[in-house]
Formats: sequence, C-alpha cells, structure tokens
Amino acid sequence: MTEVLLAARALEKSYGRTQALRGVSLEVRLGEVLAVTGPSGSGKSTLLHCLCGIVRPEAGEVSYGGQRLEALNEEHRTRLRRREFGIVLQFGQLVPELTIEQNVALPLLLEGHDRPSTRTAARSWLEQFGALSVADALPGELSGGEAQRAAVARAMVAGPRVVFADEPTGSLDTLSGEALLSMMLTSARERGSSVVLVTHDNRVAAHADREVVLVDGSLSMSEVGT
Amino acid sequence: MIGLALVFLRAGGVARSFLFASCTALATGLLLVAVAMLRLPDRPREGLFNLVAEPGLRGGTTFATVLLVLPLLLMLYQVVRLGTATRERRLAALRLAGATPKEVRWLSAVEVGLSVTAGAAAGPLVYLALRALFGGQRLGTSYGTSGYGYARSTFALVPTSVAPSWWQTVALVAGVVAAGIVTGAMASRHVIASPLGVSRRQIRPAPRPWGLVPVGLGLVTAAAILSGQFGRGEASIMAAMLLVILGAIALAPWVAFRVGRLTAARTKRPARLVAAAHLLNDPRPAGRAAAAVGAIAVVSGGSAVMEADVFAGESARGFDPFFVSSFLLILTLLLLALLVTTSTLAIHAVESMIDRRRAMAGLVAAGTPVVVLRDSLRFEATLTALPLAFGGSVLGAVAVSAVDRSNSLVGLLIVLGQIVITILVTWLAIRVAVLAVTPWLGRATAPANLRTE
Repeated sequence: MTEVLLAARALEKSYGRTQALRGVSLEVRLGEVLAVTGPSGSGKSTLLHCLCGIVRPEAGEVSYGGQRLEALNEEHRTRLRRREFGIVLQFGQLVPELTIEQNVALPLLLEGHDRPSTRTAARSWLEQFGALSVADALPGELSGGEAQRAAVARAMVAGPRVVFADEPTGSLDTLSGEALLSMMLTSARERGSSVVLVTHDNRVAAHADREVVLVDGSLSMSEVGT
Repeated sequence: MIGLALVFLRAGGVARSFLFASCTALATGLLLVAVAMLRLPDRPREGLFNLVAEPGLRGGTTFATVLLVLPLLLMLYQVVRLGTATRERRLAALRLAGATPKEVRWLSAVEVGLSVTAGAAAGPLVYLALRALFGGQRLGTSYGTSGYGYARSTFALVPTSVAPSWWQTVALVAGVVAAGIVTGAMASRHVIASPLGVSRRQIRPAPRPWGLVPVGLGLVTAAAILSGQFGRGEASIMAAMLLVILGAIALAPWVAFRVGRLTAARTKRPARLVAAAHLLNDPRPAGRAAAAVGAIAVVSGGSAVMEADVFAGESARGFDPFFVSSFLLILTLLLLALLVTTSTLAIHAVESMIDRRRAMAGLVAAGTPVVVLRDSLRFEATLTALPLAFGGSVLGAVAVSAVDRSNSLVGLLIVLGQIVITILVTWLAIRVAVLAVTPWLGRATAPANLRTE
C-alpha cells in the first residue's frame, strides 16, 4: 500500500452560521493526484486551506510527516508551507511590485538562498512552463494565463512534496487551462510530488488519480480514477 | 531581505518615499529649532524677534514650534496609509509565497524605516537652512531698551548664538526615526495579512468619544487657572492647551462617524450618500486626515481670544507694533499649518481613490458621472473637517477665555471673525485638495481597474 503523506481526520470549520466542513476525513498518498470536486459552496476551498495549514479547523486534525498542523503556530506552519508545500490559487496572487522572475524566486530568497542560485532556479522553472520570455515583466503586464504559469512555477520552485491547487485553471480559457494543468501535473509526477487539486470542472478532475466529492461540507463519495 | 525591502521601497513610488523623508526632515528641523530656543540665555547675544527674545514669551514660542510638528506627524501617518489596499495585496502574496508574519512585519518596518531615517538624517540640514533664512541678527542691527535685543525683522526667529549640542541632535534624530517607525507600525496594527488576502484582526467598533476626556481635563485645568488654584504660569496654560488639542485630534474619527451617520440618514443626493456611507463604514481614515484641522482650529480659537484681549484695549490708543507683528506671525504659522493640512486631505483623497478604485471604476462603468465621485470626495472631507474647524475654534477660544479675555464687543467680534476665517480657510483648503487630486480620479475610474488581477 502507498505511503500516506497527509491525513485529515474529522475536520470541522464554520464561517458564522455557515458550516463549511462537517467532519471530513481523507488521506493524500505519496505521489498521487487527488481531485476534490463538488458544487460551488460545498467547502472545497476550505478543505484545501485546512489541509495546507492556511486555516485552522475548529475540530479535527491534519497530520503531515508525523506533525499535527493545528498544533504548530503560524510561524512554524508558514515555514512548513514554504519548505514542503506549493500553493496555487485561482488568481496567481503574485507580488505586484516584483518581476515575474523575482516572484518565482521569492520562496528561495525567503529561505536564505543566494541571489544567483535563486535566479537560475526561477528562470529554469519559467522556461519549463513556457514563461521565460516574461521573466522581467511585472504581473500587471501579463495575461491571466501567463500570470498563472508564473504562479505554478513559484509553487514548484522549492521542490514541494505536496502541491495544493485551488481552481488553478478557473480564470483561464479551456486550451490555456488544459496546457497549464498538463505541465503542472507532469512536473509534479516527475518529482514524485503529490497534488491536491480543487476543482468544479469534471474535465480537470479527469486528470487526477483519485477523486473525492464534497457536498455541503461532507464527503459524499470517493472513487478511484484511472 | 534588505534587497526585498528596497524593491518594495522603489515600488511604493518615489513620491511616497519623498513625502516620508520630507515630513521627517521638516519635523526634525523644527524640533532642533525648538531645542536651540530652549538653550538661549535670558539675554541672548543676538537680535531676535520679540517672541523669541523675551524670556517670558520664549516658552510659548517653543511650544508653538513643537506643535507645528503635529500636523507633520498626522501627514506622515496618512502617507503610511497611502495605498493600503495595494500593500495588503502585496503582503498576502508574500505570505502565500512563504513569508512568515514576522518577516512581513519586518519588511514593512524596513520599508518605512529607510525613508524615515533618510529624512531624519536630513533634518539637521533643514535646521541649518532655517537658521540661514530666519536666523537672529547681530546686536548692532537690533534695537530695544530692555536689553533683550529685539530684532527689526519679524523673521529673526532662529537663534544663531546657540545651537543644539551634538548629543541632543543625535538623540532627536533617533527619536524622530523611532516615532516614524512607530507611526508606520501603528498605521497597520489592526491588519494582519493572511495568505488568502487580508483579514481584520477584529471587526472594529464605531469610534467612541474618548477625546472628550482630554478636552474636559484641559477645560478644567483652564478653569482652575482662572480660579487661581493654578498659577498663571506658562506650563499650566500650555498643558491645558495641549490637552484640548490632543482631545480634538482624538475626537476626529468619532466626529466623522457621527456626521456620516446623520448625513446618510437624511441626504437624497448621490454624492453626499456615497461620502456619508463611506464615513459611516470606515470613519477613521477621514477622521485622521481632518484631525490636524481640529488641532489648528484650537490654536486659532485660542489666539483669537488673545488678539481680542490685546486689540480691544489697544484700539483706543493705537496699535503697538510688538503685538501686531506677533499676531501676524501666529496667523502666518496657522496658514502654513493649514497648508500642511491641505496636503493631508489631498493624500487621504488619493488613498481613498486607490483603495476603492475597482468600486469607483464599476460605478462609472455603470453610468455614474465622474463628477458625482469627485463631489463625494469633497463632501467626505467637508463633512469631517468643517465641524472640527468650528468645534476646535470654539474649544480653543473657551480654554483661553478662562485665562485671558476681553469683555468688549470689539473683542467678541475679533474672536467670531477669526472663527469664521478659520472655517472659510478650511473650506478653501478642501476645495484646493480635491482640485489637486482630480487628475487621479480619471486613473482611479479607468476601465483597466475593473480587471481582477
């Protein structure tokens, strides 16, 4: 049986009167691509935020590599995300004032790597995602697709063990989205990274090894993909 | 990390860094002038304008010089908040890229700290420039029989025979840098950046009128001076005035909120509704921008009572140039302070536009005339600043009346006249501020701002 990398047990989270997660449990295995699907408002994004430690659940636990994420303080969870996880959201959320190259290099710079090596790594990832030509541009000068490629390159640059992607192709047209997804998943599989992919799009979910469906904050079913 | 901070400093715009540095340089320069005034002996070896030359008046003049720093600090606070929405977006993106909250706070502090340090370091040069422009005169060119050495020029204000010592200069520069960094930290103390965006640490309650406490204390101190419980010493009068001024500043967000609520419930005009609703939902920035108006109005009201006291008695027997030139100088300084306030109001208007540019662009795209948005900016400033101008003037007049007042009709007319002038100048300052930022309105409402990223 494949090693479990990340496990969530009985997660609960609410925003005011709206209960986003109602006792969700799931596991992410080493090297697998797991799609979390469901209708709008079903709690997919909240689940992803809890799994990567951005949001603390009100009940339940998330464990990664023997550590319970909710027991770590914000400082430690951030360092863990920086070293072990890569995160891509629907809109790139790049730092508007930094060039694309600087944005991609940022996780390494924050980790204390020297400028030349971070520059080389950033350019290499940008090249891999076909965005090297915009390395010196600012995020505001790019199209949505180019910005999203840069965001994926930034998520991959530190060699994450798990990539969390929340509707990564949601702001792109079908062709651009398909190309970006294919590049992201190929890179992750080559490196043996796991991917948690939140989407409402069945065509995107079809790229996953396994799919779980969330309805009204609860897992409604789990199916094994191809 | 320093490299990143420098990138953000550059990205924040040269204008922002320049404003930071200018505010701190001016504040440092003025404080060094105040220190030099305090170091003057009773009988200076130079000719200075009477307000500085006479030991009895020198304390008040030094106090007024230090008070001039207040509008600059409020302006600095406003500049720190400039582009808050953009900065918050950047902080969120940084957090998403893996920066810890501590690293984000450090980057923000460096971003403000570098400009502030550069400005404070330039402060001694500002002091030297002020000394060259407004320095005392050689005793041969001065006049007077008292031996104090009055200068003929109203502008011989900065002592040249004494100067702050090196350690006083270093301590002051360090103090201004620290104040600048604290101001920067205070401007974003209620906001923490989460990787998903910005979350408020708490839902901020409506402002409360805590400013009434220092105002009340100031008035009680003034009443105690009148009743003879405190001496009529400069220190107690200055303490009373300072309490009223700080109270007026603290009351500004509450005034903005109350006036916003009152107007929102009654108005039918779209521009006023937009302005009032904005004040109601986020009264603190507008309140802070107009706070300097309240402070200046307190000084204006107070000086009006002193003018009334002097001139009502003098009118019968001709005016003494000593008083005329002194009050003209005070009025000039008040106008200068209002000029700084105009800049603060303009900066707030720009901040408001930058932060709401998507909503504003959306309104224009949906058919709202740009002129309605421009009027809403003007109303927002007017609704906050004019009540503060009126209230501050009255409070200042009441506080000083307890110590120094004229009971004649001429005196009353002088006080009322100066209150009306203060309100009119404030109104004019608002018009100028809105006129100055109108070009930004075009950029803020451009269709490009409708883009999500």
